[in-house]
Amino acid sequence: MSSDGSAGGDGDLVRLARDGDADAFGVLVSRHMRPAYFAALGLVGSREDALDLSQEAFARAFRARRRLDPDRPFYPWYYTILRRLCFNFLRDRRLHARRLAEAATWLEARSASWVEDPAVQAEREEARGRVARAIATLPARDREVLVLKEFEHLTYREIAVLIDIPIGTVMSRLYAARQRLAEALEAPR
Amino acid sequence: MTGTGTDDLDRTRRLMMAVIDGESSMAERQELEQVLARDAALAAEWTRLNRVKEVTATMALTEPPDEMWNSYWASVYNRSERRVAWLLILAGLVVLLGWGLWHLVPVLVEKLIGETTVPVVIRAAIAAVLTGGVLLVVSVIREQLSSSSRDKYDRRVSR
Repeated sequence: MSSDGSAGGDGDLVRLARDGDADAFGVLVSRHMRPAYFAALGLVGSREDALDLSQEAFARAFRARRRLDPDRPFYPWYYTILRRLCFNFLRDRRLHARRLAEAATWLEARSASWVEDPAVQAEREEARGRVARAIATLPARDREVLVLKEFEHLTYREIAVLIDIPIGTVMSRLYAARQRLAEALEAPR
Repeated sequence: MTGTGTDDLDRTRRLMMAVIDGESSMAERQELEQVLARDAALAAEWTRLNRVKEVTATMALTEPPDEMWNSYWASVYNRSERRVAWLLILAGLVVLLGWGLWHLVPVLVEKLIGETTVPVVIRAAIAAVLTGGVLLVVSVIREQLSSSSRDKYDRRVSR
């Protein structure tokens, strides 16, 4: 997260955007669109919805750019908007079924740098499928932390700042999430 | 997990997370090793959690096509611009509709509802349409006012 207020950092872009430079805000968006999209994807589980929600959050931020504080990190502030939109979205139960249906498609295998035995490969694939489905059924708050840690590779401190919770809570939510995934892995086929 | 208090258990589980994620100190790793050496249940849990980590380490979020990133900012900008356009259109429509109703209602009341030769059913229908129109305008205005004042995002912005 390059979201400091240092020279050449987000702070300068925020200052320019506040003064009416839309292109400067565009650079901010380009800088943060990937983590924003993937964070939304981890929460809502659908690519179209993740794109829509992350863009809507940026659009809201853009409309409110004149009130931004250049001395404070941009991304955690943006993330509060994105998070709220995603959680509101998830409250709609009708969408839940669709999200589950797409669970297997928003996570994929990392390409292995070595050739695996087909049997091992099949076993890994089975395990990944189980874990992907289990991740989709996690409580949203636990899934959020898990995705930020496992797939966005943020540190505990970064996650704590982003979600505005203590580091201990980050660890507890991670533990709860992983326990559920462990149960899914051990469940009989 | 016999003989382990709830606080100790919570601490051990957090230690497990920190060690699995490589966010622990040497002292914490040693502390965890000692706990696991004397508690078989926790050691089994440790194995299960490591298995999960092994699996998730081989997974990634699906990358979207590059075109999506190329048009991302343009979509954000268009979305923002269009919202302004829709708000202007909505505001204009509300004013025009309000103005129309303001002038139309007395005429209709006088010419149609007050006209005794028009059947009662038709007069009632006209009254229903007019009342519905007024309610609709009031409802739209109230919704707009209510949603803008309840937007938590705006409160967050004015830090």
